[in-house]
Amino acid sequence: MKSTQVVIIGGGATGAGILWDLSLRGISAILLEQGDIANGATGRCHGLLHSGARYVAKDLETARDCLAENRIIKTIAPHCVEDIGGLMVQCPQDDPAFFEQWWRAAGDADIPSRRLNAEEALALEPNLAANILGAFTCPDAHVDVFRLVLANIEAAVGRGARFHTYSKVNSIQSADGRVRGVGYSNTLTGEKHEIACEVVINAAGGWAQEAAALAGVEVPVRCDKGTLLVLNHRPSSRVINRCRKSGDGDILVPAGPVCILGTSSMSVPGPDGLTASPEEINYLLQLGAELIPGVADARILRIFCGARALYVPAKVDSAGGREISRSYALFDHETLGGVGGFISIVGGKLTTYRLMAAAVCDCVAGKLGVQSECTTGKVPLRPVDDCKAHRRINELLPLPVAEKMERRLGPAVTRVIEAIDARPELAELVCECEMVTRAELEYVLGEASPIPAQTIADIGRRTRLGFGPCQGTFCGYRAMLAGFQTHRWTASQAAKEFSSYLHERWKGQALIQEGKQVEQLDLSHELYGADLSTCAYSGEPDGK
Amino acid sequence: MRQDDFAIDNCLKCSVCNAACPVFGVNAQYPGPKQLGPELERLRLEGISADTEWLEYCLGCHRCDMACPHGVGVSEMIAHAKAKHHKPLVRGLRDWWFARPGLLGKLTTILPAISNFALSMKLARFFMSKVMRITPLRTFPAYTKPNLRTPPARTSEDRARLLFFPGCFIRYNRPDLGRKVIELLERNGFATEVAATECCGVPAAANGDAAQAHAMARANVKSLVAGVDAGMRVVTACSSCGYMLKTGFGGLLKDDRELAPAVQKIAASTLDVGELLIAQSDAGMLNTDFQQANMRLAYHAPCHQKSQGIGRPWFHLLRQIPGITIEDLDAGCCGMSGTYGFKQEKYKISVAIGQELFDSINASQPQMVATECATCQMQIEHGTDFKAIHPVEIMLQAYNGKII
Ligand SMILES: Cc1cc2nc3c(=O)[nH]c(=O)nc-3n(C[C@H](O)[C@H](O)[C@H](O)COP(=O)(O)OP(=O)(O)OC[C@H]3O[C@@H](n4cnc5c(N)ncnc54)[C@H](O)[C@@H]3O)c2cc1C
Ligand code: SF4
Ligand code: SF4
Repeated sequence: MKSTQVVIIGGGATGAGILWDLSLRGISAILLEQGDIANGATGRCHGLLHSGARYVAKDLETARDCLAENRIIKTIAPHCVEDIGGLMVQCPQDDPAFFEQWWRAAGDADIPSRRLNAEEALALEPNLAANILGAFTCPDAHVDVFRLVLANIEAAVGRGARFHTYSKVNSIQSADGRVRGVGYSNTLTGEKHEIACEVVINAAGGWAQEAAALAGVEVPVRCDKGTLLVLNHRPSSRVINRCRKSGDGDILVPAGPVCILGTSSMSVPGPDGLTASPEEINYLLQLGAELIPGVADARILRIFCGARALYVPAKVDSAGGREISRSYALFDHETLGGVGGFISIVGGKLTTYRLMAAAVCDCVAGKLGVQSECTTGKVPLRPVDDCKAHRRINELLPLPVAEKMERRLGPAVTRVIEAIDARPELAELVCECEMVTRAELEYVLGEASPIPAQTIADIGRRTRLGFGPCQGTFCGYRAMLAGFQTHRWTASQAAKEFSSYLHERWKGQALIQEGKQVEQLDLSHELYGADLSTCAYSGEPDGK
Repeated sequence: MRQDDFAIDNCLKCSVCNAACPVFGVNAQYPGPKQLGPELERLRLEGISADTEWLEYCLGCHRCDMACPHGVGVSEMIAHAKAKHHKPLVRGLRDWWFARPGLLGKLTTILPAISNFALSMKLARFFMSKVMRITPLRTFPAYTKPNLRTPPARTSEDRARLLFFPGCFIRYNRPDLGRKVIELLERNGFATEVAATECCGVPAAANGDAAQAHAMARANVKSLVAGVDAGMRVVTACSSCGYMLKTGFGGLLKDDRELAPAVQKIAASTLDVGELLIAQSDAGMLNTDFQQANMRLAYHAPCHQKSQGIGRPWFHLLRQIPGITIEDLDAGCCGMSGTYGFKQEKYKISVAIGQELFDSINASQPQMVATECATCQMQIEHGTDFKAIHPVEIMLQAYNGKII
């Protein structure tokens, strides 16, 4: 049986941050994730690296946390952040008293901000509604959630930590009131495994209650659904917030080539099986169009939902989700009279993942008697790019391809260079929207990558393949072929994989009611048959 | 990025545009309209440096736009990116000249004999090839005195008045062709005035010189608008000028609120000479006083004629001349694209694209090729042994009984 000091349940931002923090403190740990990286709320959020502007009028403390973390993440993980800045836009429909309240609060929290009149704001963002009254600037940014999670895990793996995807924890063993280990199964193969450990950390987000139940304890969280729309391109170049008391549908976040609009808020029983209703989608679009009128006609690429795990302090009633504090809570179940060595971390935000991880790791270090300090605020998550590799990749690949790949891979780009040098045909573009070469695809599928992709969707989370307008119709097919040709999958596995990938991509587009994406989806259906009958594969050609 | 640019969302990635692109057809390394247009545009908006030398290789033929089933406006996106594209010094200098055929025209016409002599001199050609990267395999069109003027009214009758936009080729290289246009229109009952205009701006746009293209567009709009306001129609005899007046100005000056109404009026009043005459013919008003001819012609439709969306007026007009048989070659783009074919690094591609046209001319064995575009004519005469001339000349000869 494998053994380690700490097992972490959940490979979202929080779990990944904990793994990195522990590895810096020299504490051995294994992270188990039931799906792929960022399978939960982390992979289904706006990716707004909050500057605090959004919370400052209501919750000064959260705003201060966000501002501090915003600055830290920008310095330790610049390759994950697009430092585009943001605007808090004053709309004529909203309460002008709030604008002044916001301005004062931003001053109190030291959020760097400038007051713009309507003309100045429109000069920066010409697509904003012409009737806006003005805007405040703020240092909001976009953070690529998949990159951020990967960066934490890759850095930790580099220091000896371990990480397993598709590994669902389904039992927690304890003896004498202390945890002794966990049991988990591989969700792709069904294989069962066990790990002996001294501490178990529950970073299971929306699934925190289920995970806690395995240890026989309870955590007070409630799931709150948010729906997001992905637009095909960026109608703004900055984060656009609506300056009013937090409400629905009032943030637009440019995220790489796309732009994410949302979100609604709705209590749900759990994080699984979430869908958006047509009314919700229309409502979000209508709100988006109040900020940027063009949004009404913009192309939606896909629609998805995520569940925030909100911490419910004892006395708060179950009114609207937003009345509950967004800040996080850490439960040391040992001191709460539960099982020893079991810790739950719930709530919070993506922006504050590092802070939450630091709190957890301080607690773990105390339990294990390790003298240590948190250094994640200072140590860069990725070494700086190597100039030689930079020059070489620019010789091998056209500019945008090289630039995109370098941003994604960092120093690992040398692997791709070696591959293309040996086999120039690997420079072929597999995903034309996100500029993914065959070489990069083979790298993330192969064992040389720190967390090899298991499925086509995994390739997407590592490279953005299939995240563009065709939603995997063309590139997904090529990825399947690559998986087969590199012997990653047998023919029938590859066909099955493509079928389930495409169905998942179709699902994300099925709710779009009109416009170009509907035609795009039709094209996909035409190509593969709406029932995917053209991909159904029977018989095994002996590995050929 | 502005709201009216949301056309980028229309792309379904079907690659129909790639299949229609002449450059893509002969050079598999060319990224193609789909990538240079909508795909890279998303990344340009993202702030990724998506500049690439391949942008220079786009002919600006609009075949991708015509092929796209979803109204993406591919070539305009490419033209915008081309305008921001960074070129090395020498290519930049050469293209600066190429963007200003009017300037070269003005200079050389001060002393046409000497400059034409210089242009044909071995030493000069050696310099152009080695230093300026202009292919020595082609000959420049000769410059002449720009003596195209509005002719005095011949009759006292009240005729419909037209404003003729000659463009720089007719003004500086072939003023005689301009006079033929005027005579042809005269024979059809029109009184023509030569507009005091500049180069239309297509060479500037094609060479990625947005500032110059804008300047030309503004100057031309300002000088044309009075005539148009007075109810005159504008005629063009060069298909690129025609495209520019009808569509190009609108794209270049879309943010110019002051000139926008004038741009629209000019676009709505502009006609290709052939377009005007075919309308006369449809109305039974074409002068059909043709002498009997005896000639086999082949017709090549220039890309910018096609992208005007007016059918093939000259093909149908020439067919009406007794004794003329004419074949529509329908063999794609000639590959010349104005100054493109003169550029040393693009010469091979230019000729490779023209090959289909050359083959079909050779197969057709006409006595002459008719085509409206001056640079298509140059390319045809470069790639085959056949002479290529403007249909205006043929029609005028038919009135005069000079066609064998
Ligand atoms: C719509 C929406 C928009 C948001 N926008 C923003 C934003 O713009 N900025 C921001 O800062 N925050 C935002 N948030 C909040 C943010 O997404 C979350 O606070 C954060 O991602 C939580 O990360 P986590 O790692 O704690 O949880 P999760 O990301 O949910 O991770 C939990 C993981 O645990 C795994 N897991 C669960 N049970 C098991 C088990 N038994 N065994 C193994 N693995 C298990 C799950 O698969 C999951 O991957 C948003 C949230 C939502 C829903
Ligand atoms: S630009 Fe038009 S033709 Fe080209 S891929 Fe897109 S939709 Fe198809
Ligand atoms: S304008 Fe012509 S050459 Fe340029 S991309 Fe389109 S089809 Fe190709």
